[in-house]
Amino acid sequence: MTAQATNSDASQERVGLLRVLGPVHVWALGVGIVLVGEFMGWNFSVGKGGAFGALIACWVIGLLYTCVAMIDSEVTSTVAAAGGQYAQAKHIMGPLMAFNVGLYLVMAYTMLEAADALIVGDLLAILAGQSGYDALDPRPFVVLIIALLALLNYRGVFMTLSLNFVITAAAFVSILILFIGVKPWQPGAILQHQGLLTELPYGWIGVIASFQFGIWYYLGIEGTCQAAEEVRSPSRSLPLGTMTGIMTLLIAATLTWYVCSGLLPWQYLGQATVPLYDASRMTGSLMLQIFLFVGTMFAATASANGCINDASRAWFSMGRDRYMPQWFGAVHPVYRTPYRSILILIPIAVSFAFTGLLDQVITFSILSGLLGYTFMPINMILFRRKWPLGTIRRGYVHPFHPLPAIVLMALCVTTFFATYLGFGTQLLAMMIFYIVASLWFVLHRYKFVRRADQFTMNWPKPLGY
Amino acid sequence: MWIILEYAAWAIAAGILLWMIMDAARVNRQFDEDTLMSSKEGVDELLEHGDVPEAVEGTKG
Amino acid sequence: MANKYEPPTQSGLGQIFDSVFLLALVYIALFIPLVLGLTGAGGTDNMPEVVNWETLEQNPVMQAQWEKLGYTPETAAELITHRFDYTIDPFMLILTGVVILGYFIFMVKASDKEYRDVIREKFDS
Repeated sequence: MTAQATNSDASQERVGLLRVLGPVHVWALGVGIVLVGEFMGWNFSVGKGGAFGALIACWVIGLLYTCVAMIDSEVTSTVAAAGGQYAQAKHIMGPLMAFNVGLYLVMAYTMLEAADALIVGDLLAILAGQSGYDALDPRPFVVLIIALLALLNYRGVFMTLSLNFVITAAAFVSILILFIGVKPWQPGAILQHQGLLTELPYGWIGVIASFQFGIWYYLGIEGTCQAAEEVRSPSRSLPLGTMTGIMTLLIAATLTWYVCSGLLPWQYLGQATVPLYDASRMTGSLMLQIFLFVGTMFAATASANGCINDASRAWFSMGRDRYMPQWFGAVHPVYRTPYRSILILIPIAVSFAFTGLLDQVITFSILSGLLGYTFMPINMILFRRKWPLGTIRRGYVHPFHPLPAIVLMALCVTTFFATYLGFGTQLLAMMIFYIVASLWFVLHRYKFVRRADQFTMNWPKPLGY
Repeated sequence: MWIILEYAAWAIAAGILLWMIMDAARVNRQFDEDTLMSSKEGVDELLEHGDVPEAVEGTKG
Repeated sequence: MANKYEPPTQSGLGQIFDSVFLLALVYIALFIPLVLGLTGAGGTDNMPEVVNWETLEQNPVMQAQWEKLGYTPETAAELITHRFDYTIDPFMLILTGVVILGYFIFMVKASDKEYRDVIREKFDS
């Protein structure tokens, strides 16, 4: 297809995103973003509540995310549009909520992308240090990794997520290899759980406090919804990819906890930068060290890659509806990607990475995610109320409604409390940001939005309207 | 060796960014804005293709 | 029958301004806690008078792992004795709760108002 040909029959032909993805890509997108959380970050929950506290957090937050995955599978297999939860909110709750959800997504993913790129830079600095060069400047590598992944995203979604599948699978395998390498069938040989595990250092309040970083084990799995407009068969692939994704993560999270808590004293683990890599160092096996170094590298790269994909989809669909400047709603006529959104997010991600505010950025990212999970149960209940079962075609119907929604809501409230323990100021600062942004949307931005056009689903009128 | 790599990383990153910006500018020139903006939210196409297979409501609830 | 709302087209300059405005807002939110000096969790240290593995309450297994990591009792002491401070300030807790709850109530109400317009225009005209 030449450029001129497309140009001439522009009136007939639409340039949209390309439908090329299968369930494997959905899995790669979801798990790819998250898996880095097993290599770093989750262990801060050990610092907040002790090793057992972190294990409880791992499973309780795992339950939270299972609810997220169930709810998302139903809604997104029905509202199959780029922007994921943003498009869901737009159809079910209304424009202002949609604007906020879109912002949560863009913020959470762009900030996570910055953190991932920094990790790659730091790992290279460690490598250089070990080879005798201590003064490596990680910045060019941070920019390079962001630029490379942006290029990949720019040139097409299929290649992007196929690569993500390969490196995510490799990173997952590195965790499995480490687990086998520490001989779990011979407790005491390498693993020292008996000597290392202590009682809860803070009691039960510490367990709740550790929920905050327990989110790291799974943060981003809900990103699978962003691919809705690019999968071949959304109603089948999205639930399949998301559900297998959450299972993979539950396994990876438990294995990670088991290996690390059996090798590292909890006080060290609670503040370590790269806990799995440290665990591999403790085994004394060079092979395992190399595997885990590469695994950490791959996991960070896969995560940044998926984040670029998701953040740009959310930004793009907001632009398309004019929630954001409409200029961003363009699709590349050859590569069929939201190229302007991908481009604009490069300098933003780089600036997040270079401000030296990594802690702030990560906290903001987690909290934006948490706000998104709080939105989901409200959304789910309204979805079933406005369109009861049987009134529209649903790709997947999750069981036990409204139990998952209620559980999810209760867990979100608890996690807000956990965040308040220690990170109260950041929580308030972030709430003020979203409140000001909402006012800006209502008073200024919404006037550019076409009212009826944003409701694109082929559904009957909702009940009660 | 690492110093060379640092400079190489800067150079490659700059090259990639430059290429993307030039490509974006080229696309902006070659296509009119309406074509670029013509994508629609996905669902209509989805239903037309009968892409929702055994998705009958209430099957599992 | 509702009238169809025809939005104004935003100028290029307006679009740039809006993007920059939003980005500036993000940075302000990131910097507020830093400027107020209120980042991270507060903590306490209960350093024993004599620092060795016994007074730090580390059993032989723990000692071995610390040493493998390259720590001595002196370098590990701060990590081991540091504890977060989980005292709850009721005023701040209630304030935070009210802000979050208020935000979501506002969100649901205001969204619903706009949503009714959308539905009216989509289905009634």
